[in-house]
Amino acid sequence: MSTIQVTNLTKRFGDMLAVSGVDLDVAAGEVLCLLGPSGCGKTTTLRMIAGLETTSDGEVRIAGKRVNEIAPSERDIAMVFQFYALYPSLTVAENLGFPLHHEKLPQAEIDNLVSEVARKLELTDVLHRLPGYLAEGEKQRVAVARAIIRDPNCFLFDEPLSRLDVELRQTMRGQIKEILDGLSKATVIVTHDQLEALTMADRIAVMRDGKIEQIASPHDIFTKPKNLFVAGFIGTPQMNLQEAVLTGFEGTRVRSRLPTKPSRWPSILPFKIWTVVAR
Amino acid sequence: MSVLTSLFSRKERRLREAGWGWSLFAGIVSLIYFFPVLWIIMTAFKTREDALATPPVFFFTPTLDNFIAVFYRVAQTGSGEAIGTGMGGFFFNSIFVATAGVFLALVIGTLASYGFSRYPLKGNDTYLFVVLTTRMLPPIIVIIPIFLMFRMAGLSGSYIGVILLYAAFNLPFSIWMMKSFFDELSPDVEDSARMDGSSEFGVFFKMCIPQLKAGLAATAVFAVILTWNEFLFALLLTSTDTRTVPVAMARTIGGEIGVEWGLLAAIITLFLIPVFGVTYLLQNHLLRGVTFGTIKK
Repeated sequence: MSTIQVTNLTKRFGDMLAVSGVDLDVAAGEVLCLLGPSGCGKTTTLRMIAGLETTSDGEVRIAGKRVNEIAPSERDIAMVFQFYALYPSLTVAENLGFPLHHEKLPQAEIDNLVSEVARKLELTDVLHRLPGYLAEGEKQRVAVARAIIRDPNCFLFDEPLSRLDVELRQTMRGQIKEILDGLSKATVIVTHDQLEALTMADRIAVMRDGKIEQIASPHDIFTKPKNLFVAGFIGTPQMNLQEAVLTGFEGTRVRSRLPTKPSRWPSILPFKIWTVVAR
Repeated sequence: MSVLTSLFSRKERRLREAGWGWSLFAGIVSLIYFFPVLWIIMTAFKTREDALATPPVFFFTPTLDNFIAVFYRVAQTGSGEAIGTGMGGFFFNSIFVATAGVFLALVIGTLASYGFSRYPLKGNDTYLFVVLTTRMLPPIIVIIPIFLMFRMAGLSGSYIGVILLYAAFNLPFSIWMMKSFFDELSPDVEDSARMDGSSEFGVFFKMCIPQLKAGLAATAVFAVILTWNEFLFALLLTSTDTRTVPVAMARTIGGEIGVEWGLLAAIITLFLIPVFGVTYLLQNHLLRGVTFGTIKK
């Protein structure tokens, strides 16, 4: 089974707590987006799952097996890096074939798989080129193709679309989503682009300062944020927040009134009043 | 590039071809720089009279006598027979010692800088600084201890001794230069190769080294020039068999008829050819190496 389970994952860099007590559970065929502002520990979390970073505490399980002590190459995962990390001295075809060499497949079979995946991602025309001579979108497709050419346990994407222009980003978003849907693997995508998270994810984990603030479906994250941070982080334009005074309870609802002098004037955009309630 | 572009206003960012005036000016300036080299090369083809003529002559009948004299001289016995000067051997020594020394320094330096760049130790910067300090003192300060050590170790006068010394000479410089190239490389590529099942050796040789060709070439050229011209330690630590050209050159000064300028110029001219050759072959890499990473891609 292609699953990722992470329990109490913690990473310390010296005195700095980069990731603290993160719990994640990604089922087979599910796409989980780690969303958060820069420096919130989402990439570190991903790198710990990949095995490129050691864990200070906690456990990573891939396909039910504890992999903390296992080298990245033995974890059977494929990762797409933010800057694609294509091998600059190898042609596109060699880049795509590289992960297969480790599996000791015969050359004919490697060629077959390469041309197959190249057809899938429209790379057939550029197979003989070096990465330096590719357009940005093509580089991105090579990176994705190199990840899916093997049949790994799960996929990790680190800000896969951040380098593309807006138009390309939209097409690639659809394309990646389509490919992932066809593979039914556990997938973790790191992004700071909420649009990306909201459109591609089955579930979103919003992170701040190394902690997970909320894990929920895109719809729930958007409409029912669990706390002020999530409420403020999600949505463009931002959700309007208004301080109010709690005056009483009516069954499951609360009654509140605006202070006579609002501390922050509501904007002219359509807004909803957010009442701060002590639970 | 930045100097060039900042010279022109934003609107005229395109590179303009220089006019005749500027080209001529540039030509004159480079001629002034190149003149000593030109003078030496000219002297190499002059007879003794032409070489010493006042005012200097610029038009003369070239002769190859000096070049012949580099390798052969007339025997003192009066039989008129030509005997070798051994200069060919000294040229071989210079080439062999420089190549081996630089190669060794590059191999060790590249591996060390990879370590410094990718697996920093506690106090990494201190180690790097210590490595650099070995280049801070003038070499003449350590010449007596090194001479005694080489004597006691039996390395004095052997190829191995000079090669080791030159490798050690070039090592700090290679480490620092290669480290800056490694720092510019994205570690993502290496991580990715690791995840794709590449061994650590594969990561280093298949991923890093091909990307660093320019850096290696640039480092090699600087190290070769440094080693090629080294005189002081060669003078002390080489024997008749392992003598390098700079030492041999110094030994031709003197003699019964004073300094033989023509002969000296001929040796220098021959001595310049290999460095010219290496630099010319690697010049494209050299430029890329020197400007490596100065512009964010």
